[in-house]
Amino acid sequence: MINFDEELKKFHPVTEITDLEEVVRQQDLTDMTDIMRELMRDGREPGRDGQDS
Amino acid sequence: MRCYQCGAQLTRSNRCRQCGADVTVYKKIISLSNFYYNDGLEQASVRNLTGARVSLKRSVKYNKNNTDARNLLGLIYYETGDVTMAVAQWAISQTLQPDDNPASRYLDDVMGTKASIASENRALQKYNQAVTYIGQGSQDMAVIQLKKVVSLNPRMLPAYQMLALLYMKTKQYGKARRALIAAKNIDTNDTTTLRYIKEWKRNTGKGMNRQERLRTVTPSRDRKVVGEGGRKRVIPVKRFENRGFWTFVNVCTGVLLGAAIIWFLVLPGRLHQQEEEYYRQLRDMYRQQETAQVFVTEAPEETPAPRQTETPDTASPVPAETEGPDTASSVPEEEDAPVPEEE
Repeated sequence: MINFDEELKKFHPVTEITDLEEVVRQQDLTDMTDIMRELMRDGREPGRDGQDS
Repeated sequence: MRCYQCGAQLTRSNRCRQCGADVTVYKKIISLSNFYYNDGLEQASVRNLTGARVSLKRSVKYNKNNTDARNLLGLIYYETGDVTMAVAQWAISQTLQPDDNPASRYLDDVMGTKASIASENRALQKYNQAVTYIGQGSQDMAVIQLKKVVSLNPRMLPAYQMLALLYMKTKQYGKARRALIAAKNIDTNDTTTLRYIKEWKRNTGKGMNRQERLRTVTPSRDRKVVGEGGRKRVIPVKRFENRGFWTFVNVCTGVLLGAAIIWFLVLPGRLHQQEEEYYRQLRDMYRQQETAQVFVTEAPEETPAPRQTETPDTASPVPAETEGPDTASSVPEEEDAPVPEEE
């Protein structure tokens, strides 16, 4: 059984077009490729166990 | 596919020919990104926008430069009424790939003119106003605002869902059904819509469409499934049942009813008419008799002529016969012929 009042509270305001810049700024554009590059920068190649020489 | 370090075109080898970087994992990441993009495309084609959105988010998470996935993600946001997120994705896609990118066309269509921006933003503002009204407890005002929202932006999924919820709360299940059907047409697999549909069925005890109603109302022995695949339909089965006894009873009841109608309604009228005719004829007869009697009583009485005695004087002279011209006859009288004298 749905509690109508509780369900209505789940609806939140949407972002208007005037706040577009803020929305784009908040987007996290880090992807797996960036994580892999970061790992490699730390001196570890992917596919090997992380063991320091 | 290009090398993530130097940008050179990669071959089948697991090392870049130009910089020598190990691209084994990189190739797998790109492959996974493409896999999720294909999956999202397939789900979007059957209007499962919820599943498509999840797959496409994963795709761009693996490879942010997958502009095809990002453009499609923007289209899905646009189709569910979230214009701001859609524009954000297209803007990012255009930044990552400025040349030969459909995102430029999408942005021109949606944000090309001030009028189009204002029009798109108006629906979002009214939706936010409706949410504010609900927070204040003015649910009637929220319904009014939401109706305007869906007329401005017929793709706004949250507006339909909220509208359906408000209608169900006030027991307006017909209007709630229409809102839920519109929501389901936008996104067939949205969990919120599906939960509300389940609640609607529980409250009304009916199916959302004719097929479901047939399945719930008709017993299983009286329905059959026809068609194949997506064209399956449930139809009721026509059955012949021997109802001879009840047919006989119904016919007899009808006959008795007809006889009763004739006896109580038709017959008295006919009898009354006949009686009136009879009495009229009787009256005419009496009148004729009265008239005849009147003639008989009013006829004058004949008195006998007085007797006369004979006397010479008094005897009435016999009138002499006078010869006169007989005017009655035209035949001349024969005169006596003269007798010839004898010599």
